[in-house]
Amino acid sequence: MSMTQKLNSTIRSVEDCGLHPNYKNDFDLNNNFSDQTIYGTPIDIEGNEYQKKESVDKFADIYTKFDNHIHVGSIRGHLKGIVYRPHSYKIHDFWEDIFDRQNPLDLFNQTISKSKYILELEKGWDDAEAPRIEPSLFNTACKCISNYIEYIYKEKFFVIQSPEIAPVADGSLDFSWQLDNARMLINFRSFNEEVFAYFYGDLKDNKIPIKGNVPAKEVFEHLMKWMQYLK
Amino acid sequence: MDVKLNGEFSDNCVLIRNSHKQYIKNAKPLPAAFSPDGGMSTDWDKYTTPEESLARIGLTTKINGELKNTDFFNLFGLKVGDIKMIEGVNSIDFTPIFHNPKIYGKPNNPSHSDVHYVDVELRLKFSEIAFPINVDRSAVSLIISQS
Repeated sequence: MSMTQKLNSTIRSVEDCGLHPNYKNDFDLNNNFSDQTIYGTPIDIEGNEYQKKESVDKFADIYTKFDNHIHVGSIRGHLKGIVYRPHSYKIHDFWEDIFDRQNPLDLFNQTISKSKYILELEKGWDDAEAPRIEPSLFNTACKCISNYIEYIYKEKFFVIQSPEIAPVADGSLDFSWQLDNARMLINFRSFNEEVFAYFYGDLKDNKIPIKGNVPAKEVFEHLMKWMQYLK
Repeated sequence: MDVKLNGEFSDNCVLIRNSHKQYIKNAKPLPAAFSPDGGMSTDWDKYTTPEESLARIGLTTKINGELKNTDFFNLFGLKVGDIKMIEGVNSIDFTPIFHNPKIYGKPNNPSHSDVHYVDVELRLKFSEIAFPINVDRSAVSLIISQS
């Protein structure tokens, strides 16, 4: 199905819709995103619930306008809306209709789900003296990697590969990528109740190596930029 | 890139590293399989066979006092020449273990060798130079039963 056909199909399926006011992202609503002359309906970001705004008869209008905008990714939130049907309504993500895009964390969330067995490992899980992996470490590490995936998605509009997650005998946690073009290991461990990420990565033939450590609670740009090689 | 060798290790020598199944995915060792405990313990192939190496695992006790199950372990080899190419490896030390009298659950190991390195993240590279070692597990069982 071509983009135009898909778009037309979406338009036909929309009986009425309002723009989604609460989608969380970081674009500046004071600039031209809320400019009616460019993007249509002004958005009430203070509302606590989805509110029906002026109806948008031609979804194609929005598509045409955002397609011309340089920051295509950041407008995705505007393409969520409410589809009203007799006696019911539902939240609808038009972006996914058009581009079959997934949540950037879908893949990583699957990896996390498969790795939750780690939380059930008991002391001595390696048949030696390995301590159990603390749930707080697991959660902080997964949240940290999620943040990097999201930041990369926002900046570059692609999703990096999901890592292998493995417990380590010293009670720390490894996230590793071993791809054809790049490899990286991020080891999360706690010091004084704060979790740090110790990382090493390089490209094929040891090119562009990166090494260091950062607190896990923030996203650091130099690491985020390098992780874009893990596409 | 100078690695201090405390022992007559040639580049073709193989250091045998045992890996618990928790560290193996798709028959390959994850970086976590090469985590150091002081040094990274290996067995030097000059002084042991793979079967003897795995049998020593089966003669070692867990923290609950039971002997380890060798079915949960695989062996991987690391060529000394490849290890020496990894920047950040400090030394390879021949450190045989002998208890006299013998201690139940802690078998003597005439081939024990340690690989010392500082940045634990470098184990990513170990996982890539490691190769699987086939083991005759019936021979392993025989060695354990005769010990």
